[in-house]
Amino acid sequence: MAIIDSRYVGAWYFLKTALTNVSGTSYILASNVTNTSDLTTVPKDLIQGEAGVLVIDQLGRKDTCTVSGDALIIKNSSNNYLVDTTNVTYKDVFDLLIDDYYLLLNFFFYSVEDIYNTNDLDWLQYILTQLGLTITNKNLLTSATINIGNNITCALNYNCKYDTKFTIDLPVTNNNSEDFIARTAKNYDVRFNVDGNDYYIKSGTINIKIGYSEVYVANTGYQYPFFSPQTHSVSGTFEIYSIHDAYESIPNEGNISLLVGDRYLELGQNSIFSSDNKKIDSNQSANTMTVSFTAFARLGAGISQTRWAYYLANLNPSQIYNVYNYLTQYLNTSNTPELQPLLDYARGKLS
Amino acid sequence: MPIMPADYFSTWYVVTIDGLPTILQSYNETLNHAVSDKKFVQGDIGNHIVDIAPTYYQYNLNCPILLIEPKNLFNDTFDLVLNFLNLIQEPIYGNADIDQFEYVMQGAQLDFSTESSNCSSTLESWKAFNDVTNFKTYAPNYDFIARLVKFYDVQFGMFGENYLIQQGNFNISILNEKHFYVSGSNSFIGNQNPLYSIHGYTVTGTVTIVLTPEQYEVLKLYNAQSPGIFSAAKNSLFVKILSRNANGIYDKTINLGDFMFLPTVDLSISANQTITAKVNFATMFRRTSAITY
Repeated sequence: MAIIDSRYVGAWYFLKTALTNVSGTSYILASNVTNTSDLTTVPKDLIQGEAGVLVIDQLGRKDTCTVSGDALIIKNSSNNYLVDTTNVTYKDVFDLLIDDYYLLLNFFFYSVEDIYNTNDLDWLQYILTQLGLTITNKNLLTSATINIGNNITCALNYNCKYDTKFTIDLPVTNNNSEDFIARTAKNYDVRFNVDGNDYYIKSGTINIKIGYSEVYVANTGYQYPFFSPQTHSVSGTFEIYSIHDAYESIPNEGNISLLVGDRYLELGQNSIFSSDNKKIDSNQSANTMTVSFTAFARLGAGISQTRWAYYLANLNPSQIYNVYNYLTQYLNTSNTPELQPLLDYARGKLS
Repeated sequence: MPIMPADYFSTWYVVTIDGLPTILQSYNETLNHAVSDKKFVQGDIGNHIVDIAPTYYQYNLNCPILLIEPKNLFNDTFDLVLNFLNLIQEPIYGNADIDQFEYVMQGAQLDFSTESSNCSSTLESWKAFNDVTNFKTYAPNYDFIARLVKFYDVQFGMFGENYLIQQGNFNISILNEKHFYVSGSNSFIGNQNPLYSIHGYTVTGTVTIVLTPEQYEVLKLYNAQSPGIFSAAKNSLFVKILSRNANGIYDKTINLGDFMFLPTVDLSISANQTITAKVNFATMFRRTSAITY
């Protein structure tokens, strides 16, 4: 009886990646990774002496990668449960989303600032590098869908090839020191704050979209396009258990944020509730109401003291001092009040 | 020879439900907290990630219907059923109402026959019935006597006084659904327990009637419909348990409304036996069908 090689079994693999501001080995826990390589080829009809395909037109090559899985509550060495005795960090797809989404928000934010502060670019670049806020091809998130219900599932789409996102490793035989345990995040781990009212939310969906320009240029000798992040938007729906009064009290604006365990995803302020669908159905055990929203996904959404704490968490004192030093000089010459909390936080860490 | 202590014997204990000690023949409590393995791309085919389902308790209670003296000192399962039906017949809203509920009845089965009567019920709750009192210490204030309800304690109101009823079984279903919510606010957090939505209740059942062939012919016409006319024979439908003592009348009645319909009627004629018809019925049990006890 033949047994199929473990290399054909998905669960045996590690998705090894370098995470923002996390030193050492990092593994992403996803349930599914799909990569699509697209090289669109179309026949080109010319006056060519026959009706067959003699000439083809190949467009640029593009790889897209999808990573999906449940949000998890993980116990590992980083939160005082010594399941793993090594220096490995385990993260789920929701962590990946937070990292890459905020990286892109920072990219948008500081790209704008640099226009007015070109002389200070070195300082800023140093700060961003220290904080792990430089983006590369693997961070090109194009869309994210978060489904919230009894479980919380995330599906992320990237403009990159899977092997730029992850190193896919088989575990070393007899290496039993790397270990983790986790449970799937459930409804009671989540707060989906939709405008500050006390809703019982049955389900919800959040869609994050990042728009890119694909730029094909000569002199690169490269079949792939350059991607230029251009836009970002947040929209979604949520279904609430509702009494009839709720139908008239859904506001037209509010805050949208999602907390899963101790991880906070700010999604924009003063959102517009674009439509709602009221339903009284005797065949349902409880009345529900579905509200669609479109958020103002603004630059400042990801720039908060909470985030700075996250970025600074793993820096050593010397690195924090350098960030503090450069930031002080940068703030002396630039009008960037959003960075003041970072300065305050770095000062606090040093003291 | 060693003697097993009384702590290990069920009869020494009493389960308290709804604040009242409840006499039960059997009590089964199940903590439902299902855990299933969840596979990820995780470097190992072993179990690392689990999916933990929401928590709720399920109870199966069973007890013959009893006439207990003194009255109102103990419940039996039949009292629980009456109490719950009585609660859900009115709209539930506001903290005061909701706080009266410590469990959601999923269903109940009432069996009446010439030999015995029994009531079993399935409940679900968000908490364990941890108030199981050990009565091994003599408690004279909880002294009681009781006897089983027999056929002569039971009154059926089904078809008026025209039929002799040999046996009756009632299935009570409480339609409800568990909801698992996400907190939409920073002012409260969720928990593992579901929210229960009670959205209906129905009673169906079977009665076995001893009858003559002529009576069967009449029974066949019960609820027969004519074009354009809704025919519904009106009778007072109830089951009453007579419960009385020198101090007063404590009869317990499930009033099932005043209309019922007969999906099937099954006539049985056998040698050396009485002629019987087994009638399945569905009642229009509703808010005006008062429960008294």
